Amino acid sequence: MTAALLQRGSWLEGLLAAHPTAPENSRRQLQEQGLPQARQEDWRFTDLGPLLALDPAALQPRPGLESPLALFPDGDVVRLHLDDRGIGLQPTVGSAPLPEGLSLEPAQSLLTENALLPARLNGLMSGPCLQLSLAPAARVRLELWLAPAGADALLAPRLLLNLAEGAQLDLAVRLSCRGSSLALPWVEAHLAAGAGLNEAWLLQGDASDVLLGGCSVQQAQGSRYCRSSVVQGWALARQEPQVLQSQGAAHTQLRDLAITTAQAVHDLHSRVRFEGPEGTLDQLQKALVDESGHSIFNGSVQVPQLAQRTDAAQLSRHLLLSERAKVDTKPELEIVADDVRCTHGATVSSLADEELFYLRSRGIDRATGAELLRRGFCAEILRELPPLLAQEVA
Amino acid sequence: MTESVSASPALLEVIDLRACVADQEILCGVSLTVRAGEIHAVMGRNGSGKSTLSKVIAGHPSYTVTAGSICFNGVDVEEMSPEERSRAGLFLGFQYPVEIPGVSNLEFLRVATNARRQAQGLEELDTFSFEDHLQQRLELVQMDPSFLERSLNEGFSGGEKKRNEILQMALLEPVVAILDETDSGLDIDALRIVAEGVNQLAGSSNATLLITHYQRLLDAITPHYVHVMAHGRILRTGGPELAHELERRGYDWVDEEAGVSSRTSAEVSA
Repeated sequence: MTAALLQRGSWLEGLLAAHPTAPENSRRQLQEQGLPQARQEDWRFTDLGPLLALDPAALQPRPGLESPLALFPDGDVVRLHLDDRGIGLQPTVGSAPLPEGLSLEPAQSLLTENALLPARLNGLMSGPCLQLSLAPAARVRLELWLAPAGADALLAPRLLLNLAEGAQLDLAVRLSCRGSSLALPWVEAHLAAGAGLNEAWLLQGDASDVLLGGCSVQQAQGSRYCRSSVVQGWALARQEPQVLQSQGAAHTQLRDLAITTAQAVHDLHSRVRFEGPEGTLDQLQKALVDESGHSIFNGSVQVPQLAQRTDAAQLSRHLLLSERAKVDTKPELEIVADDVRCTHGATVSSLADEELFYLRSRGIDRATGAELLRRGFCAEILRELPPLLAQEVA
Repeated sequence: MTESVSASPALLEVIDLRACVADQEILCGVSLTVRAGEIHAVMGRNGSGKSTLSKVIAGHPSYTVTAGSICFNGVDVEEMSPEERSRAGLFLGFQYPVEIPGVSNLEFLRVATNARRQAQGLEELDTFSFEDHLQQRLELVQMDPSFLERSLNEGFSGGEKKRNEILQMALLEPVVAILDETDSGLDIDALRIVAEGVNQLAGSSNATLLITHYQRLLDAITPHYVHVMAHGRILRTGGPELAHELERRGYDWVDEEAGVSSRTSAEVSA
């Protein structure tokens, strides 16, 4: 057994020992699966060192901070925050009565089992799952404020969203950690015909924090799923959004931005699968990579034989600002259907000299000009977030 | 070749300027004096060094000045960065204004205006004051205010980009404006609007240097001096009638009279 394997094994044992009340099946699954290694293709570029550097015995649930601001400034908004233990979710007082057509209740578990590491780790924690259901044609806005009050925090919020036909949910999430913490958010969403889910995530961590999160979204015909996320800080942040268009003829939009500086490793592994005809995908992944940052993108798009007339576009754009910064980007299109339109592209560039000269020729100094260009690169995705959430991006 | 005879002060003095890019000499001894109140036009074939001259004066970092000097308002600009030259009142209107997605045109204009105002010892304008300040300049170039909300030059037509350049010129109130082929890509109406803007901004205390290929711009903006550039030098200087003569006879006769061979390889690649 190699030293790396031993280190992974003992870290996992340490985590399990620190959480003796974790469900037995979750413990067993995780023990059998173990932590991934670099020889696994999906983890080839992702160094788990920052995770192994966390002391599993020190990681504890911490009470959550209340939101100091309303992400959606007005109207009927449901606000959730971390519960007293800092693991699960509970509604903030003041949101009662709940908007018409909305029910909130604890659930025993998620509806589908997921073998991805973030889902497995999330399942290991004993935090309850919160189920949010929208009745047909209901329209609700939901805010999640996930901010542990201290360092060495462990948070594993789990949310199950059920959107009935024609229901519309706007979800804004702010997750921030304060050092040596492990965040394991997981969302499972089921969108019935004609339902719409807009998700906006702002994920910020300290240079010693680790994020392993993701979502599993199932879309019925005619539904719309739009996800926007911005990740900033962290030692390691890996997100694994998975979307399944179970009947095709639905629309998926993914907008992900990583602001990758210092020694951060930001990893986005997305997977979109079409299991019916005439589905559409519009995906844009961007990363601004500076200092010794490392950005990883793997975008899987699966178009089997029955997914004829799929229209999918995927674009990965990296702005590389330092000679030490690193990018690994990989589109992964598996197309079996023959009557489809699937495009992908990847660009890696530095600040354009001509753009910088143009700004300088208008009296704008080099540093301010470079900052304008950096902000311009990010703006395309930041404007998809609610303005108050976007303002939180440093 | 310095032909200005006016008694007004020299705002821009280029003396025997030589410059190269990637070890290729593009400017081979340009001399030019532009005084307050004057409008100059520089004409010449593609690749003659006209655009390079404008970029070198503006301080483009890709070009290296190997000899000669550029004095702006009595100060040698050699050690000045592009932004310092701009703040001092030097303006370059680009032949191909760059598109910068995500950078708001309005925000860019405000930051640029305040950089210039700060250098002039004027108070910076906040968002609201700036919008008032901007309004009258917008009318000068007949620009739709909706363009302010868009990203800088992104998706603008050729004419809209040039109007945006003149709008910037109006906001920055330069001492010397160099307009590099401002007329290229303009339809008749846009040309008229841009020319009217330039004429209105020209005054007794500033100067304009037009780089152009066509008489049609000089029909709308009458220059005091016309210079013909070839092989990285100014070969001939005259009055407005010189542009008419070039329109009729082309450039070969200028080369012949100057005793140089026409169309060097540099004129293709510069």
